[in-house]
Amino acid sequence: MATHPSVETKYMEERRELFHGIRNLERRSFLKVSAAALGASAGLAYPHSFTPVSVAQGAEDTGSDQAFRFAYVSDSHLYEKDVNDRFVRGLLRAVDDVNNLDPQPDFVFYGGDLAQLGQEKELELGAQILKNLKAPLRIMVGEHDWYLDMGQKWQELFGDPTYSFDHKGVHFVVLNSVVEADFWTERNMTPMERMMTVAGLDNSLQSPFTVGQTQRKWLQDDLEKLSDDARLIILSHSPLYKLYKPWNFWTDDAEEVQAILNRFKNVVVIHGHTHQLLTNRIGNIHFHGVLSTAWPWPYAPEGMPELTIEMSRPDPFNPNDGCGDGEVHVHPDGLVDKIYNLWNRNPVSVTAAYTASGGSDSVPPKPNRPSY
Amino acid sequence: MNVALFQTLFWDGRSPSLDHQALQPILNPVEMGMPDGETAMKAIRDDAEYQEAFKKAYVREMNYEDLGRAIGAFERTLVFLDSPFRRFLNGDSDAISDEALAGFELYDGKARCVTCHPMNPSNPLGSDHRFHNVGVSARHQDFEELAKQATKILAEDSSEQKLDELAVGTDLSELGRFMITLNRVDIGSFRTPLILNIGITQPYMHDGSLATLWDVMDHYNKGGEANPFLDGGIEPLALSEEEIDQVVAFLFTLTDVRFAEENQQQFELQRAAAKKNRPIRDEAMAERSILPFEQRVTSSKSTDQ
Repeated sequence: MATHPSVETKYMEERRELFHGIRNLERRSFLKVSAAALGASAGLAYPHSFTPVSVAQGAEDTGSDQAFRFAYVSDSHLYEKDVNDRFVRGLLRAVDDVNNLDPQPDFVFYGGDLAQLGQEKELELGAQILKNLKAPLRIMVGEHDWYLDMGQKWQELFGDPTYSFDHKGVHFVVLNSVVEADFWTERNMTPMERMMTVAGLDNSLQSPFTVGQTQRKWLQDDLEKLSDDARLIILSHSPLYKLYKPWNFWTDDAEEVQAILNRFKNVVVIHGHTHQLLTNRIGNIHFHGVLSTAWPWPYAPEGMPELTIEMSRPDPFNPNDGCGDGEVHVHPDGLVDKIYNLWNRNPVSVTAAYTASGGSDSVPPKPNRPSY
Repeated sequence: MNVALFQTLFWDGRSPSLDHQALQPILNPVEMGMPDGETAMKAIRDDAEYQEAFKKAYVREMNYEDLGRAIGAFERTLVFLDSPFRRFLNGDSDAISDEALAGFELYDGKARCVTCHPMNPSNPLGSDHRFHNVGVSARHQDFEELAKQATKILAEDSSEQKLDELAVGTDLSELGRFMITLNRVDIGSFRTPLILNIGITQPYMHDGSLATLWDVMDHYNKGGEANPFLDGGIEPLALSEEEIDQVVAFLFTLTDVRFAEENQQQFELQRAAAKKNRPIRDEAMAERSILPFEQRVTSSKSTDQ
């Protein structure tokens, strides 16, 4: 069986390579490397400066083919207050960010993992904070919300995790993409043991995420009435493709779901779970990750989509670095510009032109420090 | 003092060099108020001593840019690094007290100071040269409202001079680095000041709002002032009174020995003031028995606070 090097191993190897390279440098290439190192040591240097984005405000009619935008907040992983209040402050900050968007977004999409361990108090605290949003909320479930009581509390607070709605000519579908096959009954796990297992990475106990047959059938039916050129945005917690299984950056029945989406001209999938800048395209489907308000994940050691411009390693001294919230600007053709509003860096925009061109146009700025 | 070692000048870093920085206050209407550089030069051009000195230094007629260079050159001579703590690091184990040494361990650990105030042989200043919101202006400012105003004004005129005027003469200065970058993440953040000679550079913080180093410790001990842009590294510290005294004792070992007398005087003055009054002190917050977000979350109009 193939073994994957850990992030640390990968990092150590890169370091060794760098230092090996430095020893063998001629003067000219040395200057190049030292200039790069200088850039790195000057702190966060940005490739382009931030200019406030003025958003064209469409007329208030409800016809189709309109451009509009919505905001997103995701992956807050709230704990009870005696354990951790930093993540609570993160979510509060995101709510403030969104509330101060001018003009206000049409709605706010919450990308799942509101709670860390699915506990009542965590979910209630989250619901309480999200009530402060001025714009309407559309919420999705994540595995951290679900596997303590199998979604009981979450559904009590927020309703059905699988639903669809139409907004300004775009059909939105919200999926519960974190359905796992029962691994707990046979092992006699308590609800908390089950929750802790799902919350962990790199363990072989839990099953991979799926959308599952029931929801796939529902999805098929839900989309039936749409024409092939309909504008369609799917919201899912896990990426609806296969990136890296040991961390469940993965949907096991991704191919089946993609097959359902295959007939459409353009589909946009926006997903939580991965806590990082993440871009992918598979045929007609354009995938965008979202930022977490709690922590940034490192990038998976393998399987990274080519379109992703990886962000550089977050500053370990600043827990806000690499976290944030953002916006989605929906174009009349259904494709989107995805704005990553990073709390300690300049915002990054991954545009429709970038994914549509397969990565040749409007390339987002590459950070001048290495990924991680 | 030691400004030659800064990477950017002014609290919001709007000036890249001492030579450039020196020319700003001369033209700022609320500072020296000269309409332009030429008028400023008129005021000193007739002075024979200046004429000679400039001629000698720059081998040309006096001009405004050289004025900046000359002031910058003078400022670069003001280097004061020779502190008891530096002597301690160089092997003189009697240079600082046991209390101060305990304070250094806290500085490096529980009190988290070193996160933004790193001190090492190659960077002795105790500044990371970056910009942080530690919540000082959040005590009395509505950041969102200010940011809206600033964005509007700067959209019309974002010249160097306009920035300088806004940063010195108006409330907008409380937005700090945001005025330069217009990036929300920089709202209310200011350049980390150097920590050398901190004992004799009272009052403290970018606005001089804290009178003693005990107040500064109280501010950080309670986790700063809650606001959405608070730096991620700011946390309640749960420092005891004894620990606060130790950190302060350490901070007073960072003053250049040429100011030893003044340093001792300040220590006593500040200690007496702190015994009388500790306006910022909040043990409940420091110990996390009250969390700053709780009130917000439970009140219905949280975002208006």
